[in-house]
Amino acid sequence: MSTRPVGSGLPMTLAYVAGLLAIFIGERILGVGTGRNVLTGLGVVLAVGATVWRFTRLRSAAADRRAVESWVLGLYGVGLVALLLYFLQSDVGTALFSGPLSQKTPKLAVVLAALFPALLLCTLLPLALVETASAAMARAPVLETGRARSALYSGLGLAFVVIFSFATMYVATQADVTWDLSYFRTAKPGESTRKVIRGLNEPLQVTLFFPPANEVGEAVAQYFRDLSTESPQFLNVERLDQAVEPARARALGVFNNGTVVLARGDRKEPLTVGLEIDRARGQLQRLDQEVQRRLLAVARPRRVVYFTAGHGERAESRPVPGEAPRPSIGQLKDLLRAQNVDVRSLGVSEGLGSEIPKDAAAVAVVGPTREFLPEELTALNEYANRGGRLWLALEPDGPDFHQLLDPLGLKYLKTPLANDQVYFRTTRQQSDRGNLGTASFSSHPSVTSLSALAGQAPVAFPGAGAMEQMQPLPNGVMQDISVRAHAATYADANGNFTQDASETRRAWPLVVAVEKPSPAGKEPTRAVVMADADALGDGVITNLGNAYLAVDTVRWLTGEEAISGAVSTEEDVPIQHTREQDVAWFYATVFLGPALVLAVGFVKTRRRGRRAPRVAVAAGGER
Amino acid sequence: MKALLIARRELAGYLRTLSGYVVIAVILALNGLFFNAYALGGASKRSAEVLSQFFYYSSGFTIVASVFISMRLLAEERQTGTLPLLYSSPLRDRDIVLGKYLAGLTFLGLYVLCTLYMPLLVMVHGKVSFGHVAAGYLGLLLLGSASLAVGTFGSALARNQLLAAITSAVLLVALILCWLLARITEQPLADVFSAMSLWNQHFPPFQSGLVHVRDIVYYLVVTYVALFAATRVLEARRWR
Repeated sequence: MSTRPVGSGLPMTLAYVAGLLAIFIGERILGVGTGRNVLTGLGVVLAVGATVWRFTRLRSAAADRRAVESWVLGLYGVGLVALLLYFLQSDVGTALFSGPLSQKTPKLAVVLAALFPALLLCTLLPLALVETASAAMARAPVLETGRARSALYSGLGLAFVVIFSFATMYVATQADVTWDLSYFRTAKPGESTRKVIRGLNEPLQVTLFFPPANEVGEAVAQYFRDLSTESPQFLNVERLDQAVEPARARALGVFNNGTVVLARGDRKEPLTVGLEIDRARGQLQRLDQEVQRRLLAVARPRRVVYFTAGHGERAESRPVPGEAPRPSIGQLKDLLRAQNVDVRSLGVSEGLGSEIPKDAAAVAVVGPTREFLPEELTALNEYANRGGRLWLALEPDGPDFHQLLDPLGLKYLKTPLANDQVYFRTTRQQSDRGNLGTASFSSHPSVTSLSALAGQAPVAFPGAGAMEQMQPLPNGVMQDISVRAHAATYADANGNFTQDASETRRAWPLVVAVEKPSPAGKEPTRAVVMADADALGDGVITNLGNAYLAVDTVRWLTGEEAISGAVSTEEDVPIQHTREQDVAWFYATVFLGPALVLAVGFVKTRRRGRRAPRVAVAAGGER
Repeated sequence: MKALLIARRELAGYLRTLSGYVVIAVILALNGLFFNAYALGGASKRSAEVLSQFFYYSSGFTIVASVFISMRLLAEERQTGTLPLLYSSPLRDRDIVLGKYLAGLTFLGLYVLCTLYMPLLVMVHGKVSFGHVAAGYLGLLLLGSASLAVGTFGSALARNQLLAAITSAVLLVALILCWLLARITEQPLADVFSAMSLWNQHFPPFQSGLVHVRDIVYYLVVTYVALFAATRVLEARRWR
């Protein structure tokens, strides 16, 4: 047996790998042309040449090296088989079989496409490890076959694991299952909607048009199942497929599935939700709001609320020339229309100078800048005295309305309020201190939803004026300060937005609800006086608290406070902080959390140090 | 069982000294800083968006934490010359790798758990879905697990802790950058690279509250392959 080393086989392996690399560049990077043919041809020649060279080396190898040489040659062979499989499913195969393999036998083409990279991996990984092991024994007089075998098995094991991993990933991707845990829930019936259903005294038909086993249909049906428990005798919910029942669908004005129709007598209110869950998400999150809006339209009589005009009031119209434009109340009116309120304008031409129309459920005076004529004030007073409903939203730069407020026991001081501790920062100027915010509500029916939501729905009052209760109150007048300012608010008499010595802090009334008995047989007079008209302006009314304040005010004024309550919505909300909260969050996240971890670490390591055995005192030291 | 014994010993090593807590505290502070500056900062954002951005930044810090944690796992033993002691004990190579990895994963899990107060703070003013939080944390743990396994492989390859950190970082960056390769290569290689991408392809769904089985399988597979490779590296002493 010869013990003479036969030299390293590494150059052959390098040539073999270079050949494979040339084929890869030719086929995958160049793809077409002469370059591709040259590189691919060169690569094949190198790979086959290295295999032949290895074969001749095996024949001349000493007995101790023969086993390792044969393994390496076997690996070369596997690599060549992989190349053959690749060429069979490439354009070489197309030329051979006079047509692409993917068309002739598609399954075989897929098998070959998956098999050739797997075989290449089974060649290259073990080859690299066997060559590494061989290189370590290059100068050894006798090659330790066991070491090379371990390397071979390691390489094959790694290659198999990688192939298994890719196969697993492929299967997982093909048979993927998804769970959507992001913020999305279909709204549940809110308290207000439940109250409307409870108050039904005639049948209300709800027809859901969805195909069977539709995800959106299931969500909507569940919503109405929850709701129907409130009035099983009057609320009839039926689910139909428009394709199966086209005649009934047509009768309700429905031509596609994905629609809900609420009908009572001749009145029909459709609500289109859609059929695809991804598109219907937004609708489902607001479902309670949308259903309530249609429910009010079909189940309750329409009320008329007049908004006075002609005195610089907030309106949807263009600003008067020469006057600074102020936020309109278009959004407020839209909100009221959604509550089944008929919003109308009331100026001198509509009778404000003589008498308030008989169909007025309430009259709103929102932010006038000019005085009313005495005749107009008289008409409003007469209306109030005969059980009318007044909604006065005043402003410091407008009239004080003492003729209307005196009988209600209120006085508008026209002094702007400010707060240097709790306010909305909008321009980062001192004047921001006039942007009051509060979550201090009473239990009055005109703020039912706000008090139920507690601190979750603060109300913004940008530029409110000071209001005072008269003492003693006029006979029979009952007042409730439904919304108060923060306790640190002061009447900023000189308008410098800084608290001066004469400006005391107190929880000023911002909204006062007044009730006064009327002559026998009449409804009691109701009025809501707000110290700020801006709280109802566009932009601010989109704030949840301001919207609830407006809606509940109208409901109380029109005698529908029984259906007041929060609407259920699952819509995501923007996160808003005050400056102080920003600072608190910063310290909590950047310092407090890490400091706590360090403190725990310090305590744990110190305690362990104390528990550690002390060095034994030398016996001689003992007494 | 033997792997658990090693894991306990290793975990005690992390928690016995203040350095383990310092690592958590520093990464937590950086995470908090990014959370304040980018997730919460600027215009007011919706809760889901804030939460999504929190997971976006946390995923980066989880990868960094996994590199710091894994760098000492095997490289430290090799650096201090105690690896032969482990070899001479009646332990299999896979027990050594698995034990050390489990210790690292528990420590990483502690760090991830420590970040929980940030999404809970979002609850104060926003609407937070617990499902979304759970999905995000599942993603963070899986991403951390895969990164830590790759780090363990890097630690098994390197002679000292610094080299281990560099090797792990290079491997992780290479895996993350697979999405770039996916953009410049053609089919079917583009699909392969895209599927291999450690972050872009598989983490964003968790970030937005979606749990895909394919993403879970991917992170488990990467963990398995990396740990298998680390075991083979230890075994290589027999033939190298």
